[in-house]
Amino acid sequence: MTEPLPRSVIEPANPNLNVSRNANLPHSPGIRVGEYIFLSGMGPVDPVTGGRNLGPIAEQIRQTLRNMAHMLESAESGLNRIVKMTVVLADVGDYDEMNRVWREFFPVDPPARSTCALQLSNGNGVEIECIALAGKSGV
Amino acid sequence: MRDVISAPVPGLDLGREYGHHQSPAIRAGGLIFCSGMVAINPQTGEREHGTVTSETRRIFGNLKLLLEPAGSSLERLVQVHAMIYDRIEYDVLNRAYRPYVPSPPARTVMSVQIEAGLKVMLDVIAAAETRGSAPAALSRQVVDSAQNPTLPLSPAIHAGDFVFLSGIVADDSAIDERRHSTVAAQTRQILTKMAQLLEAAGSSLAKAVKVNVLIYSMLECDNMNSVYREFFPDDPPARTVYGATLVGGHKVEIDCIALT
Repeated sequence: MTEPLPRSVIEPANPNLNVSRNANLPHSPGIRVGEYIFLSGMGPVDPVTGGRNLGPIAEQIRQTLRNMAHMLESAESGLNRIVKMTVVLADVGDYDEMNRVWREFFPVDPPARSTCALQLSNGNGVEIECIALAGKSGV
Repeated sequence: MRDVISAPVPGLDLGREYGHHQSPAIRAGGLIFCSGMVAINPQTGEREHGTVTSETRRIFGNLKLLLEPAGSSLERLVQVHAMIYDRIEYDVLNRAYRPYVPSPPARTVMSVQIEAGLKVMLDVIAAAETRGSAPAALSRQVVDSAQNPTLPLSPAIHAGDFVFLSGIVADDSAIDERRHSTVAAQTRQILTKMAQLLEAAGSSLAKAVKVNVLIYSMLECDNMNSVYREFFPDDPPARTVYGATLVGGHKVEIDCIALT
């Protein structure tokens, strides 16, 4: 028998990181469907103030990945459950710097990834989205 | 199971109307992967260039036509890549977009080059129905991790029903050669590599459900397509093509999600 695949909205435990609600944007922070989690594109948002945390690109990328970890952990998943990431840089020249930060966060078995450079809004240097598996690793 | 979802009305078959080598949508693993949708008259197939608002409304109308017969709906959208021709129209997009998504999907807005000078393209994954019993907690396995040791990414990850591939670019062993190699040559090299990688993951090009093609100029689309169609002779995957700046001076980058 077939039945609708369950679909639910994922929100960060820290309300400051709920950008779509705080900025009144028509997207959800993330959607869980079946065993997969799809997160919206995330940027370098300050988890204390909710404001944008702009600075050197490496720090923007670190902040974005920390926020992504928080978002996934709020859904009982985690960075090590990511299967595919899409990275958008404002400046294609930041690619090597991005890889440097990536190694800090994904020392082994990193996710699949695609990267390109596009116009970004609000002066952000980076925007990252991902598809992850629900549930903790090792289960 | 990989089902091609055919166009419910003739105009939505971009393969027939414009020779795009793609299926309107593919259903696999409980999800529906749609090809990039643009403002097309659903009956005549005519492109309806307009404002961001009018194009967005037309696309959602078409998306509804496509999803409902396939067992999904606008309430069941999972992920959207909302592509607009210029970031300055972000607020306009949001205003037109909001009424169609009572339970908004995850979304990333990208400012890219879109085919034929259109202003909006939506790339959508939606939830369909489960088949059989619910899976246990899924495992995540890196496929062939030795292949790309210099970059902090895995070429492919196998998770549940699907294998997710990183963006593949042409071999960069000789940088000068790459700068001068053509879109057609790069596409051939990429898809050859993709076939090998998918086979290493227990999949194949024939099981690809969704392909994303990034190209440095939309003017070169035909050069990519002429090679692309050789690799997907029957029932091609859902596909989105857009123009963006690629890392390292590459002209084409292709990623995909495939069934295993």
